[in-house]
This record gives sequence, C-alpha cells and structure tokens, in this order.
Amino acid sequence: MSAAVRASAVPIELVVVGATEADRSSLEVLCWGLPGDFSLPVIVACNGDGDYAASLEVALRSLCPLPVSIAQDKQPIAPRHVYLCPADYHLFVERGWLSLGVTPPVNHARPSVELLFWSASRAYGARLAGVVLSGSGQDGDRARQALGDAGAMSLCQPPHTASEIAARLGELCSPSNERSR
Amino acid sequence: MTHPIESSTRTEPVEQLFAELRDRYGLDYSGFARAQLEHRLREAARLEGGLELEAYARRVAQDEGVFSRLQALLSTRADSMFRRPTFFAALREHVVPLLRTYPSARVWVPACSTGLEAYAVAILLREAGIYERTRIYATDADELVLEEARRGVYPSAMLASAARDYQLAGGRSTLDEYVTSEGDFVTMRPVLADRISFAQHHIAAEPSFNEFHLVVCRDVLLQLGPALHARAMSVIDESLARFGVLALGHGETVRGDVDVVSRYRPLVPTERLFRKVVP
Repeated sequence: MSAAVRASAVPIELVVVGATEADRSSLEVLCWGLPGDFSLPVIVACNGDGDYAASLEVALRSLCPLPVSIAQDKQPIAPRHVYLCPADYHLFVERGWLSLGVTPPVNHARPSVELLFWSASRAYGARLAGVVLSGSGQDGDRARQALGDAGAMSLCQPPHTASEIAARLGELCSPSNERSR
Repeated sequence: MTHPIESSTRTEPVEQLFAELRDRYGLDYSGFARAQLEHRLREAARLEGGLELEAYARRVAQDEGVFSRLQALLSTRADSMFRRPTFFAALREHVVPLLRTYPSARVWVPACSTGLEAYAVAILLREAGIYERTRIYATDADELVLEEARRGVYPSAMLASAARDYQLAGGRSTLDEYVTSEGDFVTMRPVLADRISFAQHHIAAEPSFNEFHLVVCRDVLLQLGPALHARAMSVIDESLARFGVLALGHGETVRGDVDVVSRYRPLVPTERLFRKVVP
C-alpha cells in the first residue's frame, strides 16, 4: 500500500494543497478528478507572477465540480468548497476559519505553502490531509515536514500522480469511509 | 505508526509567552488572530539565536531588550510603499473626484506603522491637486513606530520596488522627486508631511476621535481575531462620514456587526473600496 495510508483512523476534515505556477496542469487534473459529491473543504496555496490567484480562479472554476473562490480574511471554512490563497498574502488556517497575513515571505514565498500547512496542522492535527505538488520546492519540503509532525495524511507528487491523488481524496468521502465515522 | 500531536500541547509555550506579556508588560494579545501571532512569535524566537518558544518566553520575561525587540517586531508592518498599484489607480480614478467635492477633506490611516501608506496617499493627493485642502490623520498604538513615521527615514532598498509600483499606479512624476537620498537611507521630503498628523490611537481599544471622508485601512485588521476585528470595524464605522469611502486590503471584506456591515456598498469591488451608505 502507498504512503497515503495512515495508522490513525480519525476522519479527515480538511485538505490543503501546495503548488506553484509550474503545477498548473496538475492542479487542473486534481480539481477535475474530484468526485461531484466530494464533501471536504480544500485550501490551495499556489505561487505565481502578479495576481496569479485570479487567473487560477477562472481556470479551476471551469473544471472543478466544487465551487472555487479566492479566500478572504476571517472567512468561515465551508464544506465542499475550494479556496485559493489570494496573491501576496499568507493564509493561516484557524479551526473553522481562514486568516490572512502580510508578514514577510517564508522560503521566498507569499503565500507560503509551509505556513499554510503548519497552521492547518496546528488547527486540525491528524484530521488534515496535505497534498504537495512537485513545483513547490523547498517551501513544499518544509510543508511535508509539518504534515509529518502533526501525524496528518500526506499525499505528494511524486510518488503519486495528480489523478491518483484526486482518486485517493475521493475515497476519503466515499460511502464506505463515511460509515466508519 | 504515527502519533498525532494535539494542538493543545503544541501551543502551551505560546500561552506561557502570552501570560508573560500580559502580567509583566500589560500587553494583551489574547484577542489577536492566533496562528499568525504564533508564527510571528516563533520568528522572533528564531531571531534571538534560534530559541525554542519555551526558552524564549523566559527570556522575554527576564530581559527588557528581548522584550522591546519583540514589541518592535509586532508593531512594524514591513510592507512596501504603493503595495498593489491597481489600488492607487482606483483611488485616483474613483475616490479623488469625491474628495474634490469637499471644501476640506479628512483622511484617516489607522495603524499606520512606520507611515509608508500615509506618505503614499499624500503623494497621490498632492498629484491630484487637492492636498492643500486635505488633512491626513495617521495613527498607531505604538509611539515608537510613530516616531519613525514622523522622521520618514527608510532603507533605500525599499525605494526600488516602491518606484516601480508608483509608476504602475499611474504616478505623474518620479518617486525620486519626493525623497532625498543619503547613503543607505532615503528621507521623505518635509512637504509631504505638511498635511499629515501622526498621533497615537489604538484602533482596537479606543473610541472614534474624528469624522473622516476616507479611511485607508488596508491589511490592518488581519492581525486581529474576529471579536476585536468587529470592534475595530465599529470604530471605523463611527468615524466615517455619511457616504464616506472605506479602503480595505484586496483579501479583506467588511466584517463585523450585522448593522455595520449592512451600511457598506462596493464602490470598486476588485480593489475593495466601499462606500458607507446610510439608509
């Protein structure tokens, strides 16, 4: 079995995704591959030039079965919704809501994938699943570390492909998994 | 086998640090947005020789130097001048014509930190030809950063990105015209500060002190938790004249008490410019 299998059996409540502009097509495959009945919130930190979040919002809206929008400060986290970090902000996850910050870049990045994953792990612990796509470099490596420290589920590319990750996330919300909750 | 670490055990040293700040220095950060505050505290600890939070909490309690460095870090927003140039372009196009209709206009820049936003607004109003009949109130809770704001001295490294953003914002001149350079520092020309009053005011703890036609409060309320945020928003609301304009950061929207929120309509939605509408 893959590294995606966790020892602990707590249900996943939140998915975080780390990417850069280089991961555009993987991100599209991932959003496209989510099942229509996917019930979890997904938060994406994706770095790119200028107001990249705005372009990404347009691109992903056309393929994702879930509503996609750019996160706002102090927005409550709703189920079955994809939130994109706005350009030039860090996104911190609090339990049940989103918090934006303008503290200096981390790993030369703002939004920083590491900070998103660290704060989400802090709030959700093992109830978190994290997806790191291949373009996020050192920022992504540190994000993986944060997942490991919290005992959260980690789904990364590599070894997994974007479509495998989408399928695995889909299983989290499948009826058999729901029953075990 | 993984062992999930519960967040309560992870945040314990942070609680200890909060207690030190409150009991020893009278500073209450309990209403702040927790994750980003914890991140900033961890950064501060790292800058003190890579300390763990627990050891750092003890140092803060024992060493006033460590404490004052922390206080400076928490009250300084190290951001650029003319952040998000499209905002300034929208301000020039949609808000300046409104301000022009008042015989004298008052602008408030709360939690101004070292003053860059206030100076940027001053430059814009000056180029629009309405600076002489405008007064900008730039306030902050921290007297030390206000002193820096009044001096208007900044590292020259800041100027390169600021000059580019100033041009992108549709600046009519060059930024060099507004500063004097000396070594590694630039100083804002005194003419810019002519119409700016830098004064102490704590937006999350003190009531409204004047009525304004424009409040520029971008990315300021982010650091507050929901309850303090709502309180600060009420102070802003009390301070805005009827049909006044509120500018928030591009990741923000009007949040707070329902009756406060209901008074705001988007003026330029993409730039989070809102108009206060009183029914």
